[in-house]
Amino acid sequence: MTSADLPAEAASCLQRLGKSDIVIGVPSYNNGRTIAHVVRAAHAGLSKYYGQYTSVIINSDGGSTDDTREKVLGTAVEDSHLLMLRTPLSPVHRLSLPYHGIPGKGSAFRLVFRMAEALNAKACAVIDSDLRSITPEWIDLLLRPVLHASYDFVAPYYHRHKYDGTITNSIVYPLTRSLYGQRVRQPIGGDFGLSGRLVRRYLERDDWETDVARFGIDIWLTTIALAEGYRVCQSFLGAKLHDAKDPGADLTAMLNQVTGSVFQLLPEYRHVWQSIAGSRPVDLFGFRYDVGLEPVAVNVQRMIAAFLQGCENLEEVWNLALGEDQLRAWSELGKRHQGNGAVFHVEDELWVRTIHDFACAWREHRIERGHILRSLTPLYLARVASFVLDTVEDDGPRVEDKIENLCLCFERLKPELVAAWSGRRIARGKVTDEARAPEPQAHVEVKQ
Amino acid sequence: MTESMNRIWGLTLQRIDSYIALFLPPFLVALAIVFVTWLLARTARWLLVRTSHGGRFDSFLRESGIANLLHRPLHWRSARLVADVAYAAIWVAGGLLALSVFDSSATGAMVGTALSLLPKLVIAALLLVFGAWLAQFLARSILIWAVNENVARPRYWALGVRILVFSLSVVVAAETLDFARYAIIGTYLILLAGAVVSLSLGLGYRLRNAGSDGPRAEEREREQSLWHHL
Repeated sequence: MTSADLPAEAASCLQRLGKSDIVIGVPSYNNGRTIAHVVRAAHAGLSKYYGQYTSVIINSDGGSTDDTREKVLGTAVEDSHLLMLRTPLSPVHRLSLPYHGIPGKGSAFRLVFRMAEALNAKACAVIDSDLRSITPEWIDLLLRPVLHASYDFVAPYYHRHKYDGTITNSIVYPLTRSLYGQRVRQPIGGDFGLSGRLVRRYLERDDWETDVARFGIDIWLTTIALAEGYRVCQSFLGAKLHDAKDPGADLTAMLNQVTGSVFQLLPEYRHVWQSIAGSRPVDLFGFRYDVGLEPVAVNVQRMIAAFLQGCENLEEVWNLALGEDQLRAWSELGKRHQGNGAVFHVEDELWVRTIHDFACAWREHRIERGHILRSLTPLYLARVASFVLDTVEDDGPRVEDKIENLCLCFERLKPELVAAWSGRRIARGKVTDEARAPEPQAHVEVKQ
Repeated sequence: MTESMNRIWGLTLQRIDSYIALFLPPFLVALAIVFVTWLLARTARWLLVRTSHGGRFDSFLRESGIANLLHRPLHWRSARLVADVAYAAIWVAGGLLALSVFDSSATGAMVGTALSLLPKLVIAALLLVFGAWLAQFLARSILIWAVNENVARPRYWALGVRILVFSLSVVVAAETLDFARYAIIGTYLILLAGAVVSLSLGLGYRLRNAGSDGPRAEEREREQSLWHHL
């Protein structure tokens, strides 16, 4: 990759900078309200912990119409003397560049990665521009494992409210964990530390113009790192509090892009995930502490209503995606709830098999893939509603136990997915035995 | 009297004889052609079903939704489709050949018309298949969108789109065949205008009531935070 491939504005900045050891990427779109705090934290973090390195903060902007870009360039770090014991050797540079291509977080990251590669960066971190809880320590926690412990991929580890991150908790974390055998708790956390060689690997790929360009980017980054055997760890960052962002985004599109990105990588890495059973913990850096969390408002009745609406109208689509037993179970759940207002509960096994069925339907193109993914929304809402009802009285650790149970269920039923993926069916009774047989393996080789 | 009846009887027999002499050979030939056609058609279908693999075509049919359109989504094989088309084509060709054996002006005209119409018929059939596929695709998109957006009566929306799109393909097919052109276009325009008027009224009604939706919109806004936390 050369600077010639970059937009003119970026190329001229490259010429000015020449080289940089560390690149911090901040994607943005109309984040004028919060981005100043994020940039201040990143700037202070770089000055405080990495003053001996050359570094640059790159804001990759999607055409903000507010003062986002001005804030990035103009924000001063007033209280830096309170944070640092010694004067940094190199100043922290700041750039704000517009990216081109499909509007979305993935395209913004692509520009940051291209810049990092052209600047020959040793480490790169990407952070969301709507964070309110970021501190300078986050920068250290995301970069130190890369710069001083030879890790390639640092995933965030946050404390989150029990109803926060429901796509993560109900689909992405358990599915990624069962597929690739490593327990990365926040695979779509959005704030990552990356090594230079992993950045180069990302740039080599040719699937940037897919769901990866949008919300699918986070799971794409994580999955490639896991599946290709890069060294992965996590850093405890405390609480994740952020602004409501991108009012144009809607749940269906988000779910579609995230699950689409997961499914898209399944065929490519089938030889990796099909041979993995169980899972193992991933190294966790940082001092863990409890934090107060912002409550998340959830309207369970509206979610159930959305599911019932799906039951009434989407049977023809679900019929093509779901197995007979799953379709019957969902249909009965809908009828039961409509009939006598029975307790609304989605069994873990039903949910896991539903996700597996959708993955297979997506692979087999039973209908247009977008239709398959978008028809998952009502089922997902039903699962979230069930989760909320099951955990109303539960505190954080108990909720975490329930998520762990779901993960174990994903792992236990994985042989069914492997069989279905290969066009075979296995009797349900056999699944437990087959899943138990292999021990969790240290199956991933570290790339040299 | 008896002599007269004998004469008429003789003439009748003579006429029947001449008819038989005139039509029996071509009829037998036509029958033989039909038999050969049947034999050929069945053999061709049998061979095509067993020899064709057509994996790519299968996946095209599956991915495009055409297989689903034919209500055989999961067990569809393109070989069967090709075989059925070949079977039908051989029957059509055999039938025309059998008719042409009679060499009368009526059968000649029939065969001539059929041959001249054949390309147009094929194009019209393709247009209808494409229209049906597009109608199905768009109807399903609308259905899923309406369910996810909690729009009232999603199936009606989907049905409306399906009817509009498919009837458009009927209009275009009819245009290709020069068949009742103005009547069909007129009907379609009336249908389309009706749909537009209904849509406008519905939208207007919805906008008029938008003011009373305030608290709900606020609730939605507050809830969005859930979805923006991936």
